[in-house]
Amino acid sequence: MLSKMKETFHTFAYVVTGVLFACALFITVFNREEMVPSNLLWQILAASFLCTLGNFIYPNRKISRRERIICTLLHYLYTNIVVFGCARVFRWFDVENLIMNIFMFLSIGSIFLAVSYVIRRQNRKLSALLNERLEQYQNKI
Amino acid sequence: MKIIIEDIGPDEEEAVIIRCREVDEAVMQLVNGLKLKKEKLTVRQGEKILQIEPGDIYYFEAVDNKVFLYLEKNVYETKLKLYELERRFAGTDFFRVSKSVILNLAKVKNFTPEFSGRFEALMKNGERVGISRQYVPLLKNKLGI
Repeated sequence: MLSKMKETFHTFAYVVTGVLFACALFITVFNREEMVPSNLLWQILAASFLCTLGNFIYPNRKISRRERIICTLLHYLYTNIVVFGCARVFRWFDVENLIMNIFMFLSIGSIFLAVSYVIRRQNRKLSALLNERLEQYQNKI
Repeated sequence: MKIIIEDIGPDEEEAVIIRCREVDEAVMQLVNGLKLKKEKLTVRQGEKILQIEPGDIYYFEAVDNKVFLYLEKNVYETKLKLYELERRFAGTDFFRVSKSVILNLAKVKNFTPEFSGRFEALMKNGERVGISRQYVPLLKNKLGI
């Protein structure tokens, strides 16, 4: 449980970075500077935290390729629900505005892909290091 | 480092003396390796009782309150519990990688990342064993990372 929480915290940091970047881009593109309320940062943190909880979708056991795909799709769906839900609750954009909806949808997809890529790259790096040390361990004596 | 092997008489007791400046990780691994050679595991296969060299074991797995040991090709059941095996082989190449598996690091070919912080060990006999994410930091520690 502790390691899951640690891992969730790491993911949270990545998600916050991605979400902050997307918000800044959104505000710039749609010229919403005058609309930004002071509590926006707390809203971003809340949204990021809820998005990060999606990590709990993945079981802590060996999963098949099919299960992995289903978990990823569920995670992506969950992220969309959270972000669109937060956008609606916090009134980040006009729900009827199609362009804003598309922008938000694309932002979620990009952040999801970017965060997944970074985590995957980190795991690959760790795996390479583990293999290097394993070789040293096996050749020690 | 000099290696001296002395012939002894049939009545004399075998002994290994290690002369070193400090007992470091390499010395401990050597000691544990020697202990591992000495402690054979007794398993039953039908009517037969077999003695298994720990060094030949790829991993132990607990399934439905039974503990199995996996060799390159064969699988045997042991009466020992997983925690007893963990205690017995503490400090050796045997390392717990999940609630139900203890694997022999000497028999691991490589590690590959899985989903959500999990890893997988590809054994030298081609079998794959899952490593739970909570044991990954311990594995890193064991391998000196």
